[in-house]
Amino acid sequence: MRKTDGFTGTGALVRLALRRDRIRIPVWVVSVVGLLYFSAASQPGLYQTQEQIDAYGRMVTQSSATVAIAGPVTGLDSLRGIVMYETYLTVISAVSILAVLMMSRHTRAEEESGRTELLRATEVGRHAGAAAALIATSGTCLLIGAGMALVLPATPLTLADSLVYGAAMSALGIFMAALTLCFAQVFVHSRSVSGAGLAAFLVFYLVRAIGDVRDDATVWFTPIGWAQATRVPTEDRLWPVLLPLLGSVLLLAVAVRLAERRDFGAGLLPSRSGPARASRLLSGPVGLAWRQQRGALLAWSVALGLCGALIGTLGTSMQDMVRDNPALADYLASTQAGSVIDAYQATFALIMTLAIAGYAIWAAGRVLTEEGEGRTELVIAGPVGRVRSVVSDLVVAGGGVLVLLVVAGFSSGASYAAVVGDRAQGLRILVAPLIYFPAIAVLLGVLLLAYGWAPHWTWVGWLVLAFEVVIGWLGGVLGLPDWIYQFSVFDRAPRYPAEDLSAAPLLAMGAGAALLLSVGLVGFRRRDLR
Amino acid sequence: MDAAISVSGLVKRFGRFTALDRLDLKVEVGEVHGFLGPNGSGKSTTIRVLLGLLRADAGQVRVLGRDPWRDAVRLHRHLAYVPGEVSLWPNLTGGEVIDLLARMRGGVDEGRRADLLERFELDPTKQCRSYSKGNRQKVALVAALSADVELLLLDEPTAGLDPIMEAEFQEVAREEVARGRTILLSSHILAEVESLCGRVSIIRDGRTVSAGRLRDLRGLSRTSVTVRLQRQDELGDVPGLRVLDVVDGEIRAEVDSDRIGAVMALFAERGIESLVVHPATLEELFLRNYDDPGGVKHGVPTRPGLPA
Repeated sequence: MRKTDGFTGTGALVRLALRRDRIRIPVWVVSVVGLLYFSAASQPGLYQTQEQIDAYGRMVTQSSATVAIAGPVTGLDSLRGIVMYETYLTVISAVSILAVLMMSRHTRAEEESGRTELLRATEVGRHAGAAAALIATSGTCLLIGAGMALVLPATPLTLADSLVYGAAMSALGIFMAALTLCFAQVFVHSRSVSGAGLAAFLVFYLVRAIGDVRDDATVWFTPIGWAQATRVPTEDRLWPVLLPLLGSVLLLAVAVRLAERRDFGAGLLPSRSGPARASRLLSGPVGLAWRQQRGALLAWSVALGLCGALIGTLGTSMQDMVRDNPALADYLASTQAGSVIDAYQATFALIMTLAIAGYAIWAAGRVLTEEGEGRTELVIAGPVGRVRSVVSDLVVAGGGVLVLLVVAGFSSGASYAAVVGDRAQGLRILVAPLIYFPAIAVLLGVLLLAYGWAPHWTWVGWLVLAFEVVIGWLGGVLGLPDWIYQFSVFDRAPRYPAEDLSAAPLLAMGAGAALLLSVGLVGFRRRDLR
Repeated sequence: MDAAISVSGLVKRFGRFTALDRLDLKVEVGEVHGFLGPNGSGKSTTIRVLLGLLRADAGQVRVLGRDPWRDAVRLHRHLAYVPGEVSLWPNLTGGEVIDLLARMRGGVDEGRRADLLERFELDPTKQCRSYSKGNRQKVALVAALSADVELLLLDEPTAGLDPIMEAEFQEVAREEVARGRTILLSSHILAEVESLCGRVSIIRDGRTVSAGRLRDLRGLSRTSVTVRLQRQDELGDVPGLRVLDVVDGEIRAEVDSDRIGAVMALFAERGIESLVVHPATLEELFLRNYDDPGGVKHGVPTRPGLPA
């Protein structure tokens, strides 16, 4: 056997991967680059004078919490620095998540489904599938980098900034892809592979946060630190881009070694056996839905808990800022001091709640997956009615959403109260996310309406969520016209604690959600099971 | 007593495609009814209509005396189903799925569950994502067979099973019928249908092309004969006899069932050296119904009303 035999057929498999992802790849590239462009291009409008720019720089470098979140960015005395600081976190997350999910989808998921077996029985080498996946994923990361280099010079960033920024992000994506390839050799199931990849990203992020706060060499142990070492926009160093690329080559060698040690379809870690009997809890559709969702709910609770705690402790930096900055203190005093902190906390409550809405759509959207996989059939072929089956899934999803809202509120409220010593304010923060429950219920209603009447259209649920994210998260930054806000349910909820609580919009949303859900259920009762 | 399943004139369309085109089906209480048809002929669609998963566009459908669309939940208390393509929850073990499905139907019959697990040699501690197709099928079979129900709807239940398990399934199916249950068995394994089923319905392009007792269907068909004669002359034009081929003096032929006596007499006159006679196999019935694109030409005519 020649050495290259293992890679026979790689070209054909790359074409297959591109054919399968002919929609996904452009969507990813355009949304990442587009989001980045709009966010970067809007900064000059927000910080028009040098004083405003300096105030911004002081604000983010003063507290260790802000440094922990997005790291020290150099050159905060200019708009270029602000652009970097504002966009950095979004791009590294997007590129890393893309690389992990795409690799897992094209390697282990394919192997698990048995499709790889079909291909491997033809004239295709052992490593061809992995190589093709890596080429397609790396290519997508390079496209994002190229897109950045192309559009960012139209923002405050220079051409050199854009080139190095794009190169660093592409290299980070390629590194994450190579790492995921190693995980794909170790774990048998694609969910474990993508889970391990995303966990690795979180670890890299945390290590970077620790390194940045301590301001020491720890940052060199994480690929995110390598990307930061390019020091855009002050120095625009290109050599740190080599680090993730070298790392990728090493990881590839490891992946090849691992792949040669394992059987097809097997991993290096065996899959565990489980209980022979179902627990009491697993006796009906509710128990079944709980079993399907509990893992994700736990992971989300932990993540949101950490997030909330971080946001809560930022409260101190707000306090510090007011104390250390007489000018700012005067400003706050002139515009009702409390309201700025309230506005800040209301904004974070909204951001966390939008993330929780993503969980809601995922959890409720499982009804569609279950039906497509033919598992709903097994349940409702028993004496379980259609409505009961779907409502069980929804109740568990809705319960999960409530739990997450409480976790988000509690972690940010309690940490704020603990750090600042202001219990009343902590309590108000605790309540803030819960106010969005009716809004999330409306999103679920839209999803179920589509599910009941036109199951091919359930992606509308995600579309509505994307709209809400753009409005809620970036609305101010993008400078969208006012009329667009009236279509946003999240915008209709009172921005507590910045605004006063009022029951009327919440009740109206609740009623709307109930109506949508009922109409959706009627549709599901009437239609054929797919 | 009412039939367990009675379907007449069932029509089901998916957009412009007509999946079921005036299909008839009658399954009596206490029988194993074979449900045959080529791929894509509408067997699974029919079963899913019987379960109330799909809504009939026209026709009468009664299962255990109920309308499966309107009365699905109450009906399902009395039946169990094994889908053709078994998909299970990847993160549950086989044992958990069996318990879950049983509990949703009212409870687990512990003795029956243990007995079936042993007979089908199924390891209930494995996660469903690591089961092979055959093992997933076994999970669905154990769940369905351990349920205390009147009617079993089995859609190609043995497609992934090995011959030993297949034999075990036939054994269990016979026990079920002996206990008074009714089985609708869709299958491509004709030997299985021949050994289990008293009556069959053969469908094609969503229409019943042949139905009745296996014995009667055979009677309506031709008998296969392989014969070696001392004198072969003048065999050419015998009414009711169709010679297929002659190899080394051995004649393979088909005889119309009502002419068999006359043909045998003719053979006897010419001195029989060896003779093998067997009735039409299900396979021959089956192929005869399918191999010509025009539908029912020289096969058995549609007779849903044949005496059972």
